[in-house]
Amino acid sequence: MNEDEEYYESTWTYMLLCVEPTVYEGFRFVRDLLLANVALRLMIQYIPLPHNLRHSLSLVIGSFLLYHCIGPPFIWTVGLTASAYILIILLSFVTKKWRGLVVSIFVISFLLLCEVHILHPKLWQQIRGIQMIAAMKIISVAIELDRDLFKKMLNPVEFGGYLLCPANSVIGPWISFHHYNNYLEVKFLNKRWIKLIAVDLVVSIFFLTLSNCIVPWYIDDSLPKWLIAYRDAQAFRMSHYFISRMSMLSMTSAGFGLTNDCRSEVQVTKPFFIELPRSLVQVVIYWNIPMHQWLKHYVFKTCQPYGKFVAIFITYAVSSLLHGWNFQFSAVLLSIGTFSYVEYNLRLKVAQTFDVCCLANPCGKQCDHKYKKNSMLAVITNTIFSIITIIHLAYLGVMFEASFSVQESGYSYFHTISKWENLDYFSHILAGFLYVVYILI
Amino acid sequence: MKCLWLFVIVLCFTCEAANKPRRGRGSMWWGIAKAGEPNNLSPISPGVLYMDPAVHATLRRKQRRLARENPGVLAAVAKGASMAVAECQHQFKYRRWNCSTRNFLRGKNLFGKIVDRGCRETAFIYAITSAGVTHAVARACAEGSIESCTCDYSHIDRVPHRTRAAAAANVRVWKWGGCSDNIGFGFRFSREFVDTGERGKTLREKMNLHNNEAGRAHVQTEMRQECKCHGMSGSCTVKTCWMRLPSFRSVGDSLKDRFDGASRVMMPNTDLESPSQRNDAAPHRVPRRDRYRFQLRPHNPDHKSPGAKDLVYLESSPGFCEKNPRLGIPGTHGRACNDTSIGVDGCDLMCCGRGYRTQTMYVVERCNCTFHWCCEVKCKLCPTEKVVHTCL
Repeated sequence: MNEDEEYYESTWTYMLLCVEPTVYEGFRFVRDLLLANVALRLMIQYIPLPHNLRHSLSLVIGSFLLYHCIGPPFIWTVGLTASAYILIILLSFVTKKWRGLVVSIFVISFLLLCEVHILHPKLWQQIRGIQMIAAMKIISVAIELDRDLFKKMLNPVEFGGYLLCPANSVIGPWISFHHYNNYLEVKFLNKRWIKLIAVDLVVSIFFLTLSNCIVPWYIDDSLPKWLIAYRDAQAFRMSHYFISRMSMLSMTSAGFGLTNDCRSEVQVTKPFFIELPRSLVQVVIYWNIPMHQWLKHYVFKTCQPYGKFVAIFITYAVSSLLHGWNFQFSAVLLSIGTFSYVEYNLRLKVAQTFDVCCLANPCGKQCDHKYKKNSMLAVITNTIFSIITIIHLAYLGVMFEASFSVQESGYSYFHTISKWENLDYFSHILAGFLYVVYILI
Repeated sequence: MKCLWLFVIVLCFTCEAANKPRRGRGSMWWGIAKAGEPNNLSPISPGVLYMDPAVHATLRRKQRRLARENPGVLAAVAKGASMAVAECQHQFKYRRWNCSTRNFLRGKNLFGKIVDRGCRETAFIYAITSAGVTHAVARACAEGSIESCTCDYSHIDRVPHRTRAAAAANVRVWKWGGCSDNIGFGFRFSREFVDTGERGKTLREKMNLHNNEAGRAHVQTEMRQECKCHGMSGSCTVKTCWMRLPSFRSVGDSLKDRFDGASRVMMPNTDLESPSQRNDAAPHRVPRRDRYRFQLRPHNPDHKSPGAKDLVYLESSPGFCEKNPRLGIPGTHGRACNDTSIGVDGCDLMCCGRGYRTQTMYVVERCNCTFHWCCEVKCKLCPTEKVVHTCL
């Protein structure tokens, strides 16, 4: 009895010591985001401003927010924005077709140079997410210019406002310029708006607590390594949900991403589809929906004329380079790519051979397989594939669990390899095995 | 001649008087560990502590002042002390000295006269009690049951610029949010409260101070600040930090390790004479900070000098086999032992070769426990036969 009491008491203390500062710091971060975004929204809403002034308002408030969040290094973001704009203007005199490509190469090499030569690793880890969002925005603008989607060239204020917009410059999500432009209009706001903000706030802080305190606690360190890997990967996923939800919060509070009847139309991630995945393909899609769309619209579709394989390869290369010159991200992304490729094809073949509804993406309205999705066989096959996906996710996500100094200053090659070695490269072997099965069927 | 005898006797008395009571001076507060037992801590008003006057009398004036100034702290101290006693008894369950406690009233020490000797066991007692207070006060502080240690949130917002500049310059000055100062409070309080009687003048007081500090150091090093990064795809846009208090069991385990490897010390020659002489001449207090600034020398010159987390002792332990009223040792008569073990808990060593008695007993135990989701454990009660060996 005494031992039990002791256990409960120490658990309680652990929770208390963890949850309280976690929630506190979460709120501290939210406070700045909220203040900046609500200020922007209220000004747009209640002061009739001309077009350019609205954009410059976004630019100014966004710069303040960035400065407040990361301090002086925010000049790197501003510098990237300014130089990219100048490059786009200059290129427009020369060509109307290759701006997207040239700007992409410029932006990505800028990021790589930043990472490798210029910045301190800790600083880079801190601003990497911000730079990624900025890079995505710049590339999307350049490619849309190529596709002639703008009536006239963007002026510097519009461009700067789009890049530094407080609603999504710090933690995303990426939105296209046209959306941004529309969102800057006056919206119908009512009590729902406040409610949406409150819900986002509660949910994001909940995920933060899960990530910091609850998930690391509920599986003990003494359990088998796969459970620990699952736990660590899950803690990382919770952290991602926290950031995603927080980014929705920043969008909503700026009045962005709202429909006319004040409902949120932006969705960043779908936790349920990732925690209980149908397939790795779906996880890739739902992990970061805006990023997925960005890759699809601006990279994959642009490269499609050169063949499917080239398009896939370039999409992979871009997404991995956007994350920086880092073995871990390249390895994880490449693994996800191959695993989901194997899974997709295997499921396609299994579905054809046994006539089961078990494709990587759920069948649409009409499922022309003999065994429908509720049949025994389909349920069993899908469950097996789900479990394989969960194993893959644990294997891939365990990378991101590291001591704070590693998290803070970036993941090394040895860190990645040692984590996978610890799990005996199980998922790679599993994927290889599944590929053999795929060939044999 | 008579005069001389008288002189010798008086000298002896003064020796006794000067030495004896000082041993217990700083440690009488241990009695507070038993304060919780007869329902002395009133649960209705956690801030105010009704305490048995006898217990209260064991506190020194400064300790009473501290308790008055920090409402709620006495309950934490009591909890820490009883936690320390329980942990000590757990760690020494299977040894000849089993950390037994006795009636502490009437000017006696909770752990008995063994603390009069500067042996290993005493070192452990000092370290574990000081660790217990640190742990319990830090915890109570975090739980908000001590009024005077409120969360000071203000300092966080005051330094963001310095933090950023330092972060860029690769210096770790990240402050965690929330109640960052709980631990600090626990340490400061433990130093004030536990070390009250130890002025650090004699060798024995230095030993006590060192062991008290070692106990606190064990809590401190196992108390970790943990941080985590959050941001787009594994970047570090948002940092959150919190802290982790070790379980007191792990503190006890590591202190037990240090007990087994404790170092015997003596005073460096240089320090020995001058301060005590000066003190005799003019009774002035050693400044509070300075009393921790001393280095003990290992008894065996080939050994390393003890580190901050090591336990130190001055004299070898007495035998704990036989009853020794002068040292307050109950002996191992009647202690349970393990007839198959060859370790200290084995009957051969525990009973010091006197032999043991074997009895068969029937006890009712919890068995066939099943776990019900969530979170309940249901057990049956089954009578089982148990063979008990007790030392003669």
